[in-house]
Amino acid sequence: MVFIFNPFTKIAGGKALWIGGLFAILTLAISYFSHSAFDGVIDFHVAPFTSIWPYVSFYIISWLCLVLFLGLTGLLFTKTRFRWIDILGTTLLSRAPLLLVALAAFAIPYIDKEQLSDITQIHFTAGFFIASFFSLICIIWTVALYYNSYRVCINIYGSKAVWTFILALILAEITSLVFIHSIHFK
Amino acid sequence: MEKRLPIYCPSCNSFLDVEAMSCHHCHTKVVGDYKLPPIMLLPEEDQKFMLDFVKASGSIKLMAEQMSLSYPTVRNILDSVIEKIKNLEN
Repeated sequence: MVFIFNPFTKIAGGKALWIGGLFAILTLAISYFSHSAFDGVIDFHVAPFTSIWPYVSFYIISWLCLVLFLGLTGLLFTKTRFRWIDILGTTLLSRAPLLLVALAAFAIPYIDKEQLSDITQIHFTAGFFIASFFSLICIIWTVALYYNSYRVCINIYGSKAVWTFILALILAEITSLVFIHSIHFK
Repeated sequence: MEKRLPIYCPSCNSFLDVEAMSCHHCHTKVVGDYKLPPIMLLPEEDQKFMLDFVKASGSIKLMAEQMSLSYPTVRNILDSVIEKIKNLEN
């Protein structure tokens, strides 16, 4: 049980990077077919694109924003000489539960702006609610993994670990959204 | 039975000092007031870690392989041992 929330006491660095990379490739391949876009550090939306590249770019931008802010927080708030490869690897591996979200997205239909304006006309199935709830659980799991990755790589603990992590996560989320929207939706 | 070096006073829980040492060859006894070095005051598992770390030529990577732990986890253990030694020295 501990291992699924904190595998980083055993796996980090290059090993975490290639395992996380394998999960990322699988997730993105499924994303393309289930139209699941991970357009932010903790974001997930169903959005159909004709090419796989928006899904890939969203995934990479979100990941790198998280790496950047967790690393900067580490530089500012701890004296530990951490390795960037550990943050890169463990954060990528932390995103492994998104594979399950990409699978769950097959049960979540795309809802466009017109449909959203009259929500009463949308027919929500039981599958939609189950898949949405399951996706939410997986994203919470991902955030828990982000936190443990941060704790292990930066060697930070206690309340300082919690508030610096929240700060880094919020900044990474905002930055990733700004980047994604300025690159893709301009 | 493996004997452990007692480092805490059973009465007041302060660190113990060394008062007597003896030569098992000629039975000479040396009596005085000697402080234990900081490394001897560390918990047993930390002493073992230090010993293994020196044997591994100070390589965190090698230690990680030997302990089946990740590199940052071993580095964090090392950081905590360093912190303990610094506290003991102060």
